[in-house]
Amino acid sequence: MKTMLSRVAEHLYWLGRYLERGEHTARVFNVQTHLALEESAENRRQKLRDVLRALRQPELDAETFDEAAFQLILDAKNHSSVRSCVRLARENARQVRERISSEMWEQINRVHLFVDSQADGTLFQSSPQEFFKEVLTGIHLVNGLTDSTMSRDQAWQFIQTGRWLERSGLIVTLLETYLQNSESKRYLDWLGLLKCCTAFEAFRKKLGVELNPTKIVDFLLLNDSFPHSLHFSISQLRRALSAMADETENRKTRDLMRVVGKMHHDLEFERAEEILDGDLNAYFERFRNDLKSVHTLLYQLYISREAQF
Amino acid sequence: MNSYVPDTTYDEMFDPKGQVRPHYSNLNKLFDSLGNEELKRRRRSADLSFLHQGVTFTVYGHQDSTEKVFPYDIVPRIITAQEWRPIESGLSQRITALNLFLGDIYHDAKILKDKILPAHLIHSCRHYLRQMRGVHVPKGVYVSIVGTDLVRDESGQFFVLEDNLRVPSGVSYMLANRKVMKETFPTLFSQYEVRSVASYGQALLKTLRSLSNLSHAEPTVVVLTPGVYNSAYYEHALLAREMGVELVEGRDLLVHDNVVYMRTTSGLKRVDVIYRRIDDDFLDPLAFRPDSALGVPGLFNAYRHGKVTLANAIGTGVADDKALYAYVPQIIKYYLDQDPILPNVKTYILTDKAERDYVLANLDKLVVKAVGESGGYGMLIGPHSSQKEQDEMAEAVRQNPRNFIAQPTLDLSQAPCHLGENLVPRRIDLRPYVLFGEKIRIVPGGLTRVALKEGSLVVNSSQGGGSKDTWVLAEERS
Repeated sequence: MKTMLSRVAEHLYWLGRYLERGEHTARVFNVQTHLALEESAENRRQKLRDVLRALRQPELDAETFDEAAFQLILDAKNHSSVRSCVRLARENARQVRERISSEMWEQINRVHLFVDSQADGTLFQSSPQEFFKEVLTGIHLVNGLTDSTMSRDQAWQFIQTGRWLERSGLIVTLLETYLQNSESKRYLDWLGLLKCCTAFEAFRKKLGVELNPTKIVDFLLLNDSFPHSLHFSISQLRRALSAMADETENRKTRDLMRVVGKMHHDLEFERAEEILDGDLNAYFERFRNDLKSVHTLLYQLYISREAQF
Repeated sequence: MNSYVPDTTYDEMFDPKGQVRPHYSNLNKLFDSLGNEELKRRRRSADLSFLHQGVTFTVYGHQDSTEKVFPYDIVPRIITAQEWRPIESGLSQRITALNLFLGDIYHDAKILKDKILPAHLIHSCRHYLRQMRGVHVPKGVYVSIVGTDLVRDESGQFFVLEDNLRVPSGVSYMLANRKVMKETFPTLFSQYEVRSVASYGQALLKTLRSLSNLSHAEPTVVVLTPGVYNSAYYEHALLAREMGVELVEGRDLLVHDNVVYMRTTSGLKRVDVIYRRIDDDFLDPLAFRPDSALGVPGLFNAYRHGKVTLANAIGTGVADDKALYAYVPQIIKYYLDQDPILPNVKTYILTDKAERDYVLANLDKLVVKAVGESGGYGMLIGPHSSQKEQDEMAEAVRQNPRNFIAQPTLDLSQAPCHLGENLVPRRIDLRPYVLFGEKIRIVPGGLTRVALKEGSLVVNSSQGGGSKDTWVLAEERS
């Protein structure tokens, strides 16, 4: 067992979360802007409202995708913008750079420098595809380097915990948004939803070309082998938390493991039809609360624990 | 190289006749063959490497105290084995004497009783901490990490300009410079036998472990940093990584029953040796500045009880006071009965009336420094100053003569730097790093700082200085 400072654990956890959030925001916005190009003005407004809700920014002051673009992507004052997420990930990495590999640090720094150098929006306006490609590939590289240059010790487990907890939360909000008025959604909406999770190709291979809410739930919630499904994310989260408990020899993790184990268990045995027939709001609300509990218990166990003599 | 004209000061690369010194000839050939465009290209790639590694420091005083990349010059500074030998022995001698001196003045103060030094010099020093009187520091070592600034005069003789005995910084740039240099000019290394500096982390860890009072288990070492907003944070993180130890902040530590612990994900863990990069004043709000939010309450008590080792010890600043510096040759003589191997720069003590009068009459020729400052702050360089600045300094000296010293304006040696389009001469100094534990360790190399402004004599990074990779060559085999 190697020791790790609680403060370091906290930074690693948030490093994982901010990277995931930045990546998600960039991808969702990119996918939806692209799809909105072929829509009527009214549909476009509806699409934008969905995007803002899915990204947990419903109060953002924007009527069009163009108006939202700067605020969601490059606005340093918006703490959830892609730029802020990258900056915060980098800030957290900077605090623990002796704990992560130099390769990771250099790559995080590079993404940060790129986004900052594009803050005036020139490239973003002239060729948004190029901009998003650079950002998304940059973040993927960070994740790849994390996987290939870090020992599977508790530092890695804290990054993974942040990453999968954040991803789980993002998927829950995303699905909640798009499943709420599912009867008004059409083919392109489901397509967009899958693409927001980089799931379209994987979905087609497994479930064919027909898109409907049942199949979507089956894939994005219940599939246990696709990395952007809730089931997969929760099982990774559970795995990281369990490895962390072993590594730190912490014997008080029962509550934490119970919460995450129960979520995992439900996703394993539920069926898509049951979920859609039931109270969707309550369903997602429960996940949101459970994920919140994971965060709170994690802090109690490892990060803000009181001194004991 | 034809655009480069050496002037009267000592030039590291060219002799006074304009001939390339032998140990620079391979470098000269390579640079000539590469041509200016290729050198510029390599400079850009070196700059990028620093930026991407995030090798930065923070400049205070600007409104947005931002991170800056430490300016770097791609022409290495080369030191021969013959030049290095007296530096190595001179630095060993100096750190040994200064450690004996610190032990003495915090215990019996024999050196004051024998009237080698004026007692008022010690007792008026802000860094002489009465709390340390009679405290037995672990293994009797006060200063275990030193960065000594050396300069060369017109003849090429090395002088000690100042000792940094509190929290000397810059060693990370020594390591980063070498790394980038190896990427930038791999072929040049194969034409020289450059001694490696890579073992610094190991040497530092061994030194720190040797200072622990624990005899049974492997002592736990940590690096204590003020945090990410400190100007040298990059260095703190790098040293912790090089040693494979935790980088802690004050809030990560707590003291219980005079034992220091760190808060970890597995609970509290005992800490035995702290390489602290926080100034004395801020270490412990209970013992020193009560407003310090960086420190650890109770740390000083744990230290006094010998339950934890601090490196460097508390109160070492008294030995690098710029006024005390003038007496280091006498200190070496007194404790070791040896003559100093590395000479001092002539220093005027301004509490002495005759010296003060001389200095006040010659402010336009001398350098005046505040004794307690570092980093080139609070300094007057006579030949480069205005009448108004001189008048202000004269007034400050009259108000508090103990607070200043004066020295002749040193020319510093110069070395070629690749700036703008060409190789141009710039002034440099040298800061080697000395470690003092169960034995003395000096990594062959150091930080060569460069005054990047034309004609400037100030090499501090906070004042527009940069740095160069420093090559110490291996002894030639005969």
